[in-house]
Amino acid sequence: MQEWIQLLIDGITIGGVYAVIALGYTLVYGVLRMINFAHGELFMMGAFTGYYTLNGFEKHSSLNDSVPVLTIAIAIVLGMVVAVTLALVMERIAYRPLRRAPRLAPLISAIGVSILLRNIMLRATNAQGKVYPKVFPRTAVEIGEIRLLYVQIFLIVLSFVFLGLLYLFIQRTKAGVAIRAVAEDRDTASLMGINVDRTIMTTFAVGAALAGAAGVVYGMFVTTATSGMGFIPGIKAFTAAVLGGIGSVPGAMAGGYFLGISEAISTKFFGAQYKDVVAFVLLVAVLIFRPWGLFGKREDKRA
Amino acid sequence: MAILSVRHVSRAFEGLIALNDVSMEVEAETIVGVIGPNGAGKTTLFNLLTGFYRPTSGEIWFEGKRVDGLPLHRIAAAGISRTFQNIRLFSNMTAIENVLVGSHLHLSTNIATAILRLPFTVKQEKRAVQSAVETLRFVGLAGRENELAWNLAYGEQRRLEIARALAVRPRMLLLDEPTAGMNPGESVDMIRLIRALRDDLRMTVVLIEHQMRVVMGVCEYITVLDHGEKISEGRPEDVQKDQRVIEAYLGTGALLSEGAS
Amino acid sequence: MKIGKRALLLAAMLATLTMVLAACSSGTSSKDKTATAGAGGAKTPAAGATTAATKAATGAAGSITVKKGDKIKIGISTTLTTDNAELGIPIRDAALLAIKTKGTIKGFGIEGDPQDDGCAGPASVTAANKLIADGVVAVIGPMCSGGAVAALDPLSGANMLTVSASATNPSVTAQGKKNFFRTAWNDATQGAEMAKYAYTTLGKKNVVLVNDQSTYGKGLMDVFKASFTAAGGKVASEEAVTVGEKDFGPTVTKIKGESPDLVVFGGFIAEGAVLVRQLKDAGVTASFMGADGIADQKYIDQSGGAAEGSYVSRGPKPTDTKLYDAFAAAYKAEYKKDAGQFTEQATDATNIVLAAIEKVATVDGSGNLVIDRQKLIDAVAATSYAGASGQIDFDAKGDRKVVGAVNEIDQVKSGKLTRIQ
Repeated sequence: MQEWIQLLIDGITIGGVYAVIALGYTLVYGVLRMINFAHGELFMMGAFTGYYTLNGFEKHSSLNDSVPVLTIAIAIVLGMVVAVTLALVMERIAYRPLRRAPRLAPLISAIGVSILLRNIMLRATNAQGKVYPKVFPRTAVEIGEIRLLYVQIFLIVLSFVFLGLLYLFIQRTKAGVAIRAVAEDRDTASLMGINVDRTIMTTFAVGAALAGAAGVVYGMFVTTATSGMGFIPGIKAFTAAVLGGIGSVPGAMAGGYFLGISEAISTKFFGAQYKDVVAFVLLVAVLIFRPWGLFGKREDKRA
Repeated sequence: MAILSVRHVSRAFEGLIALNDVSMEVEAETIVGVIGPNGAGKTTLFNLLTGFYRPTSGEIWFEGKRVDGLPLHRIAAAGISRTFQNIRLFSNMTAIENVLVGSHLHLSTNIATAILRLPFTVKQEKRAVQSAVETLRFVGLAGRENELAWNLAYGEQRRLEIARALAVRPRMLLLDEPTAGMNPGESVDMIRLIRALRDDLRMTVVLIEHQMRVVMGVCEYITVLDHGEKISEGRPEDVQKDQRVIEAYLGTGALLSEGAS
Repeated sequence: MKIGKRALLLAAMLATLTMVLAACSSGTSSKDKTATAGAGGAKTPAAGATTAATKAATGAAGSITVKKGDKIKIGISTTLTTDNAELGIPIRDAALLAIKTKGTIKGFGIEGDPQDDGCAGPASVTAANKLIADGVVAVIGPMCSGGAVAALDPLSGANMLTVSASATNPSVTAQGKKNFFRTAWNDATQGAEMAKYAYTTLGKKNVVLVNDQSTYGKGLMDVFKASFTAAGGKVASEEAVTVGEKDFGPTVTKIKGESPDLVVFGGFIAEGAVLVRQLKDAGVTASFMGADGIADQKYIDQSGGAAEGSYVSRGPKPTDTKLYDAFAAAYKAEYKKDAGQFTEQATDATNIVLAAIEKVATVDGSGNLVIDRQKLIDAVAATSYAGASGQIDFDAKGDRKVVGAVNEIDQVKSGKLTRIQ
């Protein structure tokens, strides 16, 4: 029983990360009908920013020991800033010029950006994985056999917080309403006085901020940053977004947790080498019976 | 003084001339009809007025400001709003949310205020919701606020589209076939609503319409387009007698038989 | 939009298929492109199938001519991207340093031609074909066993001398390719020695094996399992991790549930360091054992202290470390970094290749350098070389003959790899 609870916790931990990254995919898909395949790399850049920030504090001050809350907060904010900046540059240079191009063009462009960012970091770090300084004590809460690192609790809670904030943002703010309106009908939205270009940039920025922050916290959890670390979570988060119904915000959230937990459980049953198989079988099954995903909306409903 | 001034506007699509040297003036707080056979260029004119297209040549002035060439959202901000021939609501949003998107321009909530729920924000939100409710009541959708847009009946959807357009707080409203597909009863209600727009809200209304009963009943001034050119304009009773208009409509019979549709 | 959804479904199905294939670690296909031949290189026609390319290359590539004024090209097939580049780049650097140190052969300059082999089949085949097309004289590499097995197909077709410093899986030499040699040790020995050490010396009876799903990692764990169970030990479960992932939570939980007294890992640094740390985080008290794929200071650094106490098997260092020390000093002087795992094997591999070229190359009447490919391979087969990694002689299969100790076991003590056997 305890092992099952532990597996569930493991699933929720990584599932939260998938969910937060998946939101970036789903939001951008919503407004542009485009998959930003470089999104996972924003997560990776966040992890590196976190490393450089915390390592800087470690080397030049004793702040990591005296006020870790402050240094962690700064690292997260910087991670978001870097990711947002990159996303906006990406949007301006690699995607906006292709907005009227066939759909495949921005997709290829995104894959190019992804490869570029990965290799820039590979060069910058000389292919050396970077190890986070010990900011978070690696101690754990133990209940019987169940063990939860404090940093893991932090990661789980923060994922929830991010998801909550995003939901609030989408539902209750002016920019959020604009994003929803542009997602439904770009032209009509602009007739309602919504600046579509700015809304698209906001969408990229919000997705990137989430990915950047998640990168920092995930980096603290796994304690390393490598140039390749964004790739697999990126693919998984994309899967989660499709599973939940691409374009749907609650779908991306649910898809992330669903995928994380099903991976954890299938590891127990079949071993980790088959967990991706299980995940994709689930995806195929969902797409066969509900091509619009678990939470997505049928697009042909008005017909 | 005219609120809208269209000056020698032409628009060509890869050589096909959809609108040719059309000029027209619309006085503030009037209801103006744009009529003409299919393919006359009516919708093209609307698309030019709202910024979907740029004129190939000519100028469009609204309230003393030149608006052609402006991005769509700037034209909306300048005070022009519209509805569509084929309804284009945000169908996954509720009725009131659709209206709130329209009032988007006049809101200032961000993520910080949404979390903190400052008195100012709460008040602003309340006001926006209140005004949205009022707008919905005005168009006759009281009690339907929380219905998803695509669950509304056809006539209701048309009204919601008008409510959403009103939320932008325009001075001029463009209605593209507001009674299309409506039964006579619904059409009468719509005519009443259009009059109220002008009488109660002091709105300038320009509408495209096929049903002559509606056009003749509600419009104070009419512009007739045919093959992209303006062939006549004036008061309804004068236009009706215009020989060129009769020729343009010859065969359709629509003009004289009081909207046989 | 309907088409969009259908495309997604199709993509998902394809992805699933790929995953299934990957999970079953099936053989690699070798469909590839072939570029046009470089200066003096063998002309390889563009061919869709490897076999076609192979035949053409064999016919035209009995010998290779380096034109007067041109440089002798040495291919380096190693992993330059992805996380495994942290092992692959030092291998390249060691080979390049050896080339630079050698300077010239019979008046001809030498240059390295590094290609990214991705540590896996398809990319390694692409790299091999690129090197063949570039007209290289010999190839140092491929880095990984999985890549080597696949890339040896085109390489042996071109009768290309190939010497790997790091591909250790038994299957690489089991193919019987005459053009292949390795300065790394065969895992058949390493895996057995690890099992023996775990069972007899450490007294571990109940182990969990974890591999990284690579030919190397899986192969090493298979050998370990066979030897360990034959000795009477029990393998509680065999787990796998995915290269590139950083959170092995569920796998760790599963391992914890098995309560093993030793966890053995076959794979590379990036995953090894993460795994050992997460085991410790989860409160798993079992010892940890890895092999030459993690026998590097970077493993210890990246584990954040969790590697302390790990057992690490590797090829034996020579008892006389004079040559190794000289190489390590030269490497550090050149790159301002410590020489890592496999670098000494890489420098030895390169030096053996260069010495063989020097031996068989002849200058013809018009001043061109002619190297007979078969003679070059024969010269390497006959090599007896005292290098930084010890004495190197090859057996008939191209494996390195074991001299003295079969392997070496290190333990991480105070953050350093310290030899304990």
